Amino acid sequence: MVDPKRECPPQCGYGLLGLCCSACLYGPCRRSPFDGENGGRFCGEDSDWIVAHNVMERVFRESLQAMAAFRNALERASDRESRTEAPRLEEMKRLLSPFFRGENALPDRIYPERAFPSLHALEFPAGSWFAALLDMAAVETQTLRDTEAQLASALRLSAMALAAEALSREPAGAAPEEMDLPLPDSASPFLLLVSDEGGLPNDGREELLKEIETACREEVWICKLPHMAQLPALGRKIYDRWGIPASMSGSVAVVASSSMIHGLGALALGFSLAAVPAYPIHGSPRVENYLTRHLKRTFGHAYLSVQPEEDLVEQILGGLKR
Amino acid sequence: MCLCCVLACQIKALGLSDPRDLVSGQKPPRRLSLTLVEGTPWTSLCRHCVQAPCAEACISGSMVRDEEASAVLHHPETCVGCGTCQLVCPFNAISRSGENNGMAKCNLCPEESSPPCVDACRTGALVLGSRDHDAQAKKRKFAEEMTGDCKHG
Repeated sequence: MVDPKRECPPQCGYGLLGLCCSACLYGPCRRSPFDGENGGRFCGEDSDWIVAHNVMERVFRESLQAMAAFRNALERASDRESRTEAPRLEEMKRLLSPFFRGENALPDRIYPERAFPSLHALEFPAGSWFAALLDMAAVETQTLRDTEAQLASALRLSAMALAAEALSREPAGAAPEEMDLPLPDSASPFLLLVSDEGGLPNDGREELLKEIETACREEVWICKLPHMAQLPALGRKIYDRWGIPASMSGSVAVVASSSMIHGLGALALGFSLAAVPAYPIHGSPRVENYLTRHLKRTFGHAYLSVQPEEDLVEQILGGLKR
Repeated sequence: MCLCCVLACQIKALGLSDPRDLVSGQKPPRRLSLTLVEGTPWTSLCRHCVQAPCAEACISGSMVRDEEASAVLHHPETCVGCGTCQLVCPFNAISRSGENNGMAKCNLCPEESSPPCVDACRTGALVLGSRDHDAQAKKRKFAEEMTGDCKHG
């Protein structure tokens, strides 16, 4: 008999809340969730900044990895004969150029405004993604103290990284558009289940997804995506089939991934998000408020903040009906 | 100084099991705190003294030395919050509790198999010793010295 308490020691409470900060060389610092406004260790930063900064740093890192994988895929495609046409390949290369400041038609083809209005309301860049990433990093490291602006940047970057993942599969022949994405004929909220390949063995996510699927099968139509890179194509297909953007379909994406860009990308594309594991944002009421209530009010979809004591399935079903 | 023990103690004091269940505005009593003394982390924590000044000074009998548990136990239901124990404690281990204006200190969480602060400590810096923990350690060290096992002896 396995003793869970012995096998799984308690996680770092500050880490779960997102209140560890290693932004400077005086750190790492930990800010108590019970500290008042003046509780910062050396720099005096508040919990909102620390949590938002941690989210941004993680999203930057993962976006850079996605861009690097995209660049490698393009290099491989240039070396040998690719299925992708040369002009499209050129457009893809321009997306990764840090110097190209002009407009590029490819982002709008991946994320057309009519299918992803919430993403365009967040000012999704129309030119080079790499230049946009560098711009956001420059602003972030300077004096950006606006938590909401940081989170909007994180959503934009996550959507860019998702599209980069989708495009990097294209030269190899696994174009997401070509894959069969079944959808019901009439518009209705559905449950999207996605689990990436990078999970730890026996981390319990497959069992949890099966449990969610079993509990929700009677209530709602379920779509299982094998890879997050198919999400932009699914969003386009929703618009083509139903004539409404994903954000208006009231659908919920359950994203089991160790990458934050996957979940935040789904949120940016217009799906309500239940993340497995949950994101470390509870240390800041402002960050949590933006991702839950503010997005819900503005766009109609939101991050479902599920407390450990609450039932995830109930929250998901509640999120679908709202 | 990761402060995991402090957070674990605060979460336990509020009756929660996970920090993500915290509600804004909750204030836990201070039963364990850490400060840096000349660069070394120093815990302000009840030492459960054998001759406890707080137990001797308590006017309401709510601070009691329990020989069986080898601990100084605080009974908040009878505490009048006079603060005498806080004044006499040489380890700054007693503080005023926000709720009911009484005092609060470490009771070693007798309802748990091991205190959450000890569970949360990943480096083994915080351990729950038995009554004669220190005496046994000294005996062991002396025996090692006598048999020549001690690296520094």
